[in-house]
Formats: sequence, structure tokens, C-alpha cells
Amino acid sequence: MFDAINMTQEPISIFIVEDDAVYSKVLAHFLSLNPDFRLRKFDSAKDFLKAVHEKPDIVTLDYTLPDSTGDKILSQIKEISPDTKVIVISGQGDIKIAVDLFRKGAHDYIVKDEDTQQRLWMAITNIRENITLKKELETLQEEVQKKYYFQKAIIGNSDCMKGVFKMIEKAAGTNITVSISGETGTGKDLVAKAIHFNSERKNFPFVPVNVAAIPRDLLESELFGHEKGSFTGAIARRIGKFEEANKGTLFLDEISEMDLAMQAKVLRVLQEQELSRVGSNELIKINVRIIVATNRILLEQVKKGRFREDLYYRLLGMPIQMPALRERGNDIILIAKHFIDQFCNDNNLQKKYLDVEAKKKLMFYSFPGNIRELKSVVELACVMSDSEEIKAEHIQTNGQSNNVLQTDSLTLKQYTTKLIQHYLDVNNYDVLKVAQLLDIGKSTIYRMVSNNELKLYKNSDAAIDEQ
Amino acid sequence: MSNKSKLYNLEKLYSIESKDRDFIKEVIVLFINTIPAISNELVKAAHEKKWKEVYFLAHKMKATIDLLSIESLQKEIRVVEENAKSKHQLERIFDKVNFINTIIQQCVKEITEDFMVINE
Repeated sequence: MFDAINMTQEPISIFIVEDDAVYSKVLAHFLSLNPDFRLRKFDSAKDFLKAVHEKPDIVTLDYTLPDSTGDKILSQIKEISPDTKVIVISGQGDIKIAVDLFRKGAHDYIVKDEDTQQRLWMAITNIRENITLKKELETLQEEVQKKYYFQKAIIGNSDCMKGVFKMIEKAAGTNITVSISGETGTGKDLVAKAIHFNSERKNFPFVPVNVAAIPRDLLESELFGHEKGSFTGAIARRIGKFEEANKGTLFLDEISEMDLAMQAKVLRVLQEQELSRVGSNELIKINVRIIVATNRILLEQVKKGRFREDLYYRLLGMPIQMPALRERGNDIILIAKHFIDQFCNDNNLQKKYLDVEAKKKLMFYSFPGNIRELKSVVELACVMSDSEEIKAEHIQTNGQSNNVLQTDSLTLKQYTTKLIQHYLDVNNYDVLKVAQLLDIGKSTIYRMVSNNELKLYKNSDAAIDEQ
Repeated sequence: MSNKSKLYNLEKLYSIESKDRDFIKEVIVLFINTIPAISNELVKAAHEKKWKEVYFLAHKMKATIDLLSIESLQKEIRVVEENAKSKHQLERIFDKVNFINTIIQQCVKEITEDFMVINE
């Protein structure tokens, strides 16, 4: 996707309009020295005008053609394909004609002489650089828009995600403060970006600040800015993140890590909609939308006295709870596929697919690191697999997989039996404890034991018994 | 083989492409196949006093004459082109187009012979 940024330039199409067969041949040959130039020759205005709709990047136009003149054709090109650069090549240098052509939008005017080829080469090289830059810009702009077209950026079909999408849409339509909570790696930052880039503020900055990543002493100047000399090391005036995000969105990640003194200052800024830089008395009005994210439950922090209650209510706004990956069912496979495609694409690997067992393994893993973990698991799997298939053995999780259930398809009753047996096995066959853990009656377990569905000893013990 | 005695000179072509013999050949074939006809048309148009056509044809031949450095015609073809365009001293054109045509046909003959030599 970043081809445009690499030094490889895209091929450009050049139409040569020249009625003189020999000269046309020479020009084409000269330009064909660059293999990236896609050349086509036309010996009359009529033929050429039939093909203009293909919108060539560059046209070299002989001014004097038997069936039309350069300035007429130029106007026609500009009408049909305004982005096409036209280099007029003329048999004689006539300043009046040249001025007229430039006025009509010609890119260059070259007289047929000794240096024609060199000058043409220079002109085309310049145009090419411009075209490459323009295409690069367009690709990047598209990329940015695509990236925050959130239904594409945030993958998910599960009901809980549909709920999240709905909340994003509602949040984007207003300026309400949004608080996003969820485990690490669930994509809280993506939600924040999705809200910002779908809101009316999208043309203004989105400024993310990870509160936990900034040393406490520096957080105040980081957020509010400082005046020169306001503290040791403040060698220049600096604007803070709040000011930087003016008219846009400030995303405060890991807000629960903010200490109480700082919380008081932030609260004041939010209430007054104005701030003063460290070391300054001047009040600066700000207009910032706040989105906060935390992986801890803020209300609990409030109860423990670690987070100010007034700030909590100020920031609560619209709460969005990001579901953990393990709660998202088939989304795991959707997201895994996305990461596999992306990884293979970025690393020039063949397209890879998950086989059934691999899918099962992913589905039954608990993903404590959520999507971040899923990404690294499938990327490793892509590397480990040698064919186009990714098998279960390529998927290396941290062993937390609930392997009791990760077997062939079973009926619900079989699952239940297996699960209870697993709990009995790991709890030293303490029926009372297992009944409590699983929230079932102990008599249920005893009944299943008497029906020989469950065993109250290890399989190895059973072997001894039978002897 | 000295180029000085020749009507034409391929140095310019070689300066564009020194290695690709096929390219030189193709240009020469194009020259042989197209220029004599255009030159004949030029004479015809002049005698029919179709000055606009004379201008176009002269203009068209000019670049090729320059490319093959047919020195004896470089000045003449410009005079024809300009006089036909400005409709000035038209009587001078008749002699000139005849001269141009003679040289062109000679040149084609010469280049064809040389070309056979190159080919061998």
C-alpha cells in the first residue's frame, strides 16, 4: 500500500502526436529508452482525438498537423482530459504562438532543433516527478479516508461489535465526551480515531496522549504547554496537547494513571474551557473534544479514592465498553484473516488460509492480550507455515487454551460431562468444591458418577483397580 | 567512407542511438518509404499553387532533413516553408521545390546503396 512512497515510480503514458513518420519514430525511440514510459504514436489529429478519452499523462503535440492546428487540439485535450500535460513541439519558434499556447494550458513549448530530445526528456522527467507526487498524495489521502471508514478499520460482525458501531456513529454526530473502556488490545484507540475522523472535527487534529507513558512531572507541561524559563529545561515556549488539539479531538489514553493533583487541573480546564500554560497567567480559550480510554474500571478507582469523582462524572459522557476478543465469537476468525492477508501482502508471501483445526484452536483460546495478541499469533503462524495452509500446529498460543473443550464436535451433554470431569481432575476430586465452582448441585455430580459418566479417580488408578 | 562527399549524414541519428542497429535501419526504411512521395507531392502542390499544402509539406520534411543532416536542403526547405506561409515571393518556390525533389531522390538512392552496404 505504500508503493508510492518507495522510490519505484509508476509507469506513465505518453501519446506522441506527429505526422512526420521519421521524426515520430525518432522521438518514440528516444523516449522508449525509459522502460517506464508507455508510448503510443498518432500521425493525425483525428486518430489522436479518438484516443484522448484514455487520459494519457503526457501528450507531445506537433503544432502543425495536416488536419488541425496545435492550439485547437490543445483546447480539445484540456476539455476532455484536463490533467493531461501537453508539450507542444513546433517547427519554428514563434513567440506569439507560444504565449497563446501557454495561455491555453500547454505545459511546455519546444522548438524542433538540435536540443529537442534533451529538452523533451527534461520536461517529461519534471512532469513525471509531479505526477508521482500527485499520485502519492492521492494514495495517502485515500488511505487516510479508508483507514477511518470505521466499519472497515474495525472488523467485526458480532452483536456486541454492532452495538459498538452504533455508539461510534452516535458519538461522531455530537461533541459529547466519550469514555472507552476495555481490556488491553481491544482497539480503544481505533474507536477514538473512528469517532474523530467521522465527526465534523475530522479536518482538525486528532491528538493522542498516553497518560501512562509520560512521567508525572512532565504531564502538566505536556498537556498545557509552558512558557520559556518556567522551569529548568524549559528552554523555549511550547504549546501543550490541549492547544494542539484545538478544534479537534484530544484522546487521553490510560486516563486512570493520572495522579490526583493533575486530575484537579484537567477538571478545571474541562469546566472552564480555558487553560494557562505552565509559567504563564494568560488564559487561552480552547475548543477540544475529549475522548478518554482506560483498561481499568474507573468507577472502582473512584471508590478506592484514586480517581476524583467529579472528574469521573465529567468524563463519563458516553461510555463505550469494548468487548474482549474472546467474547466476540467468529470475529476472531474475521480479524485473523485480515491480519494474515495484511501480513502476507506486506511480506510478499503467498496468500494463506486457516484450516479447520487452526480455526478451532483460535476460537477456543482466551486471548488475554486480545487483538494485539491475535495479531502476533497469526503473524507467527504465517511465518511458521510453509504452504498456503496454516494448521493448528503453526498456531502457538501461551497454552491458556481451554483444551477440555477444544476437541471434536460434541453434544452439549458430552461437553458438560467433559467439563465437570476436567474440574474434578484438577481439583483432586473434591466434589463439593467442583459443585461450588461450577454452580451446580453436588447431587448432580454424584448422580453422574453413579451412572458411570464421571470418574472419581485418575485413569491410571482405574488401571490398577482393574488388575 | 567519408561522409563529407555524401548528401546526408547519420551522425545525429547515431547520437540518439549508437548501439541499436535495428533502430537506425527502421528510420532509414521509413525515410526511403515516405520522403520521396512527400517530396513529389510538394512539387505537385507548388505547381497547382496550393500554398497552404506546400507549407505543410515543407514543414513536415524539415525535421527529417535536419535529422539526416541533408545540408544542401536545410536552408532551401525553410525558404519554401516561410514563403508559402507568408505568400511572399511565391515565384521563388518553383525552382526550389524542383531542386529539393532532385536532391531528395538522389539522397534516397545514395542512402539505399549505403544501406545495402551496411547490411552486408
